[in-house]
Amino acid sequence: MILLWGLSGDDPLTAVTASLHRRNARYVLVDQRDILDTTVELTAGPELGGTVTVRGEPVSLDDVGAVYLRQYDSRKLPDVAEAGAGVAARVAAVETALWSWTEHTGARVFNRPSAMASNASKPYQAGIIQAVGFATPPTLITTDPAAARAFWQRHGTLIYKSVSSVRSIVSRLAPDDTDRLADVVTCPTQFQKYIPGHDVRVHMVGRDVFPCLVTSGADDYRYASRQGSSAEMSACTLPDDVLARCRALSARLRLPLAGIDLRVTPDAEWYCLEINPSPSFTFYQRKTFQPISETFTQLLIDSDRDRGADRAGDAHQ
Amino acid sequence: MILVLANHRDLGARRLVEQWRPHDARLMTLADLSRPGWRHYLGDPGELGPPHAEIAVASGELVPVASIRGVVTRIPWVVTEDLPHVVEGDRPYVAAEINAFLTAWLTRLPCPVVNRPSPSSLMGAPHAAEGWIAIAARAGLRLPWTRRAIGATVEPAWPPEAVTVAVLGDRWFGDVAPVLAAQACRLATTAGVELLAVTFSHAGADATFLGAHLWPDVLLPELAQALLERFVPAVASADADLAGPAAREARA
Repeated sequence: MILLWGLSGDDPLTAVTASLHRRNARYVLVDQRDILDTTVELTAGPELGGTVTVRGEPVSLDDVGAVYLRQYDSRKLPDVAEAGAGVAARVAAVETALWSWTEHTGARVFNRPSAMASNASKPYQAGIIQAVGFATPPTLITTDPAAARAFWQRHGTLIYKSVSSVRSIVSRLAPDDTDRLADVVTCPTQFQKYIPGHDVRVHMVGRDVFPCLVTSGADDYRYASRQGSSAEMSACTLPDDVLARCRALSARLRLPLAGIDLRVTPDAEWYCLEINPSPSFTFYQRKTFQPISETFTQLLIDSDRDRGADRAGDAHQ
Repeated sequence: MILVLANHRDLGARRLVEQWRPHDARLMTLADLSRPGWRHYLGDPGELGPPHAEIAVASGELVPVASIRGVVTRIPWVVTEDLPHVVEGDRPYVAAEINAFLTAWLTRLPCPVVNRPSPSSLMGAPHAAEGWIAIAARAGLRLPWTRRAIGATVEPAWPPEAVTVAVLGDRWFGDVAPVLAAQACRLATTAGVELLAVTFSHAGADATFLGAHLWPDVLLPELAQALLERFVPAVASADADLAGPAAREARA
C-alpha cells in the first residue's frame, strides 16, 4: 500500500492522488485536515510499525511499502488552533509519532524527514553541493558591514537572500542599499556573487530527470511579475557531467524526489544554488508538459511492489 | 580557545566556562550572533579571491576561527524566546536564520564539535521518544514497550530507581553495570552522536532502556574532564603521566 500524508487540496498531492486513483493503485491519504480524528498506535522494533486510524478507518502501517510526505504545520489549521492547548498537545504527539514512523519505517519514503531537513540551511546544503563537484557562487555570511562592502567591491554585483528555508525574494544589491548594509549587524546575512545566465530547475524522480529551462529577466523568477518581468519555462536537456552531478547530489542528500536549482552562465558554466526536498513540481509540469507527477506515481507503485517482494522474500527465508 | 555555545540562561554552561577558564574557554550566546564581526565565506577559493580570515564573535569579542580548539553545543534549536535582544516582530525570521547559519558554521569547523550538528538540530541528530526506541532496538537494547497507543494515555513516569549514563564517544560515566554502559555506547554509535545521555530502568545488567537525549549533565566532573581532554589532548597526556597506568586503564 502507498501512504500519502499531507493536506488535501495541496497541488502535487492532488496530482499524485488522482494518478494513483486512475491506475487503481492501493493507496491511502492521511489528510492532515482530519488530524483531530486521527490516532496512532506504534509497534517497536528496528523498524517502527503499527496502525494509523483516520475517522475510524484503521490502516496497517506494516502494509505500507511507499510513502509520499507533503506535510504542513497542523498547528496552523483553524480546527487545531481553536481547540486549545490539550488538543494541540495530543495532535503534536500523534504527528510526532507518525513523523518518527516515516523516519524509521522499512517502507520507501519520499523523502525521509532527516533528509529533508537539509533544506533548513542553504549554506549547509552548499557544502554538500560543492562536495559532489558543483560550483557554488562565492558567498559571504556576515554581521560585518565592512566585510559586506569589501565583498561587494570585489564581486561587482551581489544578490542577498535568506540563509534558512524561510522564503525570501532573491534580490540584487543596489546602490540605494549601501546605507542598509549597517542592518546586517543584527542577524547573519547572506550575500552571493550574482551569476548571470539562465535558471534551470531539475526535478529528480528516482533515476528519471526532468530539466526545465527558465528564461526570465527577474532576479527571482518565482516572483517575476512582482519584479516587473515574466518567466518562460521549457523542457531542456543537461550535459552528461551535469546530469551525473545532479544524480550524485540527490543520492548524497538521500532525496530521490527533489528539485535542484541550477544556473548556467552564457559561457556554459553550471552553478548549483540549492536543492528543494519537497518540490512543487506541478507548477513546472503545467508549463513544460513534462510527466513528472505520472513518473513519480509510477515510482511510488514500483517502490511499494519492491517492498512487498522484499517482505515476501523475508517470509520465505 | 574552547567555546561553549549556550543560551544566556544556561547556568551549567556558565559554570563549565568558569571551570575551563585556564584553557581560554568562552561562552557564546545567541546575542553574539547579533553583534558585528561574523565573517563566514563559502565557495571556490579561486573565485573568492585572496584568503579571508574567518571571524566569529564570542562573549562580545571577535574570535579568529583558526584559534578555536573545540565547541560544546548546548542549544538544540534557536527559538524566538531565545532572542529577547531582537525586535519582537523579527524574532521568528532571525531565529530561523541563526539556526541555519549555525548549522553550516558548526558543520564546517575543523576542530572537534560536540555534538556535530545535524540539519535537524544544532546538538546532533534529534529523535522523538519513538525514534530512540527504534534505534535502541537496532542497537540490541531491551525495550520498555512493544506496542503503544500514542496520545491516548498519559505516559508512565520513570521509576525512582531509573539511572542515567552519560556517553562521550567510547567512554561512559555513571554507576551502572558494565553491560549497560556498553549498551549506552552502542546506542550513541548507532545514533551517530558522540555525546549522549541514556536512561535505564535500574542499574543492573537486566535493566530496560527507557529513553535517551542529547543533553547530559556536562557539570559531572568526570564528563567535564573528558570533554576537556577531547579538546585539549595535552590535558589527557599530562593526567596519565601523573597517575600512571591505573588512570589509563580507567578509560573504557
